[in-house]
Amino acid sequence: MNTVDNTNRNFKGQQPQEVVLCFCRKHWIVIFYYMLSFIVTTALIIFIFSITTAPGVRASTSPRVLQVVALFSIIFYTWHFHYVFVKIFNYFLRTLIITNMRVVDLDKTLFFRHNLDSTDLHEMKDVTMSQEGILKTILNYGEITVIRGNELVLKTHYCIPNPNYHFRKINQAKREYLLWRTRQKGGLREEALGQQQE
Amino acid sequence: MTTLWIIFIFLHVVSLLFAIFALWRLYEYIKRYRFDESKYTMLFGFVHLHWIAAAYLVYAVIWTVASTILFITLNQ
Repeated sequence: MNTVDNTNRNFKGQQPQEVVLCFCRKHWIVIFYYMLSFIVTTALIIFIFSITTAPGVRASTSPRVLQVVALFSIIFYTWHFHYVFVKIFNYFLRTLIITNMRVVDLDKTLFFRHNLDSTDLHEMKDVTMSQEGILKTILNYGEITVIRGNELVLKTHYCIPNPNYHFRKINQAKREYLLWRTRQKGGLREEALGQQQE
Repeated sequence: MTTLWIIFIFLHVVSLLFAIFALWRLYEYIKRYRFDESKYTMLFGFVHLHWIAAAYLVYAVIWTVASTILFITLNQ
């Protein structure tokens, strides 16, 4: 195990001896619709701008009406582009982190949310990976479900890119962690026996 | 100055302040908690968060200028 103090190094709540093995964000498909809506509204605003400034339209319509139309379009577009960018930032902040002790779902947004949902590796009963559908297969993303401890609670992580890699990484981390715990327990038992003999 | 102009100026002041505040919040967080990025973690494999942040600020300014030019044009 690591001897460097990693407290709160990569995420809030990180333990002193916890090392991040890998992390990932959700697949880009989750923000694709926002990007698409951004392109559509940009095209729409260019269209409205060209209509309101066209000489024929300006000659036949009152300037006040055109200004009101333009202002409402500007208000809508300003709100929309801020919304899209904040969604992209939120996409970057939300991460699934695999450490040498647990799997952490860090649900962080720019303004209103900071949730941490972690599953200890020794608590994990089973891990499953699913990648169903043509889009998921082509774009290589899917779900990873962790079955937790005695209560058999399911925790599903959606839209994970390259799920096969992360599935293997979780299993590998779990194996190494259980091996380390077994050695720790063995070491402690030997230590206790040694003390008894003394 | 008309009511429309007051609303317009207010909107863009709020818009720019919001952009600056959002970026300040973002950088405050990512400076404190760092991750080693790789091509597997960036958007589309190559788009870095800093690029998006820079694009956001530039876009907010460009949008303010563009919409002001339109508004002035309609006012003439």
